[in-house]
Amino acid sequence: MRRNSSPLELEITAAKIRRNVLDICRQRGGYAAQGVALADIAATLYFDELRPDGEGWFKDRFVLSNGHDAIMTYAALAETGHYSLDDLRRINADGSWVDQSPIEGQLGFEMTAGSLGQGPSQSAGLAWALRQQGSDARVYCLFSDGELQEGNTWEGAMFAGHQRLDNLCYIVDNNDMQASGHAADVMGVEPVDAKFEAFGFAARRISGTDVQELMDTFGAARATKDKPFVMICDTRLWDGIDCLQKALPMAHYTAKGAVDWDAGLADINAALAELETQHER
Amino acid sequence: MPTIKPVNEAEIADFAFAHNQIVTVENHQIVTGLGSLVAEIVSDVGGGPRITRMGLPNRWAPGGTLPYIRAQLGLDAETLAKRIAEVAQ
Repeated sequence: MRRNSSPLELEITAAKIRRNVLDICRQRGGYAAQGVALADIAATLYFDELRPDGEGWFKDRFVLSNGHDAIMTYAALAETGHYSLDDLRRINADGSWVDQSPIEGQLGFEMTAGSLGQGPSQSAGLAWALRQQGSDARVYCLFSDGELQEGNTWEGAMFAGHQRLDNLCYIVDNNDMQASGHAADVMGVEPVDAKFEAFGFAARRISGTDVQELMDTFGAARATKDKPFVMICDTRLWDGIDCLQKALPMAHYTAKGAVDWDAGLADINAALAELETQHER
Repeated sequence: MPTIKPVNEAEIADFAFAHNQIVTVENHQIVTGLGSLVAEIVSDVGGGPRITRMGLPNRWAPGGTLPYIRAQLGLDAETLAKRIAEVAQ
């Protein structure tokens, strides 16, 4: 409860983020399943964990390494008010200023991340530099299990462990789904927690879809001294949204015509209404 | 040009010095690309033609459809033809 957010309020925000994801992706297709699966992480990050800087942005830094999952950040920043849904609905349209895989400098994005496997090392460098500057800002980096197949990831992890970067928190979206199939079939990444522990991290495995668990884990990360922290989130792309589940096994990218977006939005709106009713009680 | 390394430097020098205007076109980043290679080869000899490099400019590309992106980067047929015609004058 870093910002005195209640778990129920964060669940409501997560439901709104899911709604935004489908609302945006239905226009031209997109990485809808990832956005939906990461909504609880996004709600907890942007509405509880990242500290506001008092100037309309955040003091702590969030680095998105899996650039295609920008839909998560866009959908969350629509809720914070940094983006309008009208702008986001034009994502990747000719002439739109909102790109599906954004470049460094786009609001909310620290680095250009379309080429995968760059975030863990860049965020380790960022955390090191902030410490050198005497800043108490923390660095959070979200990346996918497929990026664990990239050598640069482990160079960054080795550096973070060696430098004892306890201001760094990795968030692994361990969803076992990459563009070319299940990570376990393409090139197995497990045991992810033991690998990071061997590199000097404190590691914890969580579902990644339970806001209370996420708040507790972010708290554990902050309480960890002299070590970087990694939370391995065993998300599943189709969690909670039947229309996306029906798109399996091609759930990595959801084409505009591949799913019944109206049915998905109806499911999300029903869940949202239920949560809001609970909140009013 | 299938590669810029390895490359037949003598062939490029012979071609370049037979003309007073060279235009290189590549669907790659213009920095250290084909145009840069031709410029290096010509400068090693000294003198030579004026070289105009066309390719991806040294900035990020926008998102969108392929024809839109090509037009934004000056790599659509119309823009290429116009620039080459300007050089040829």
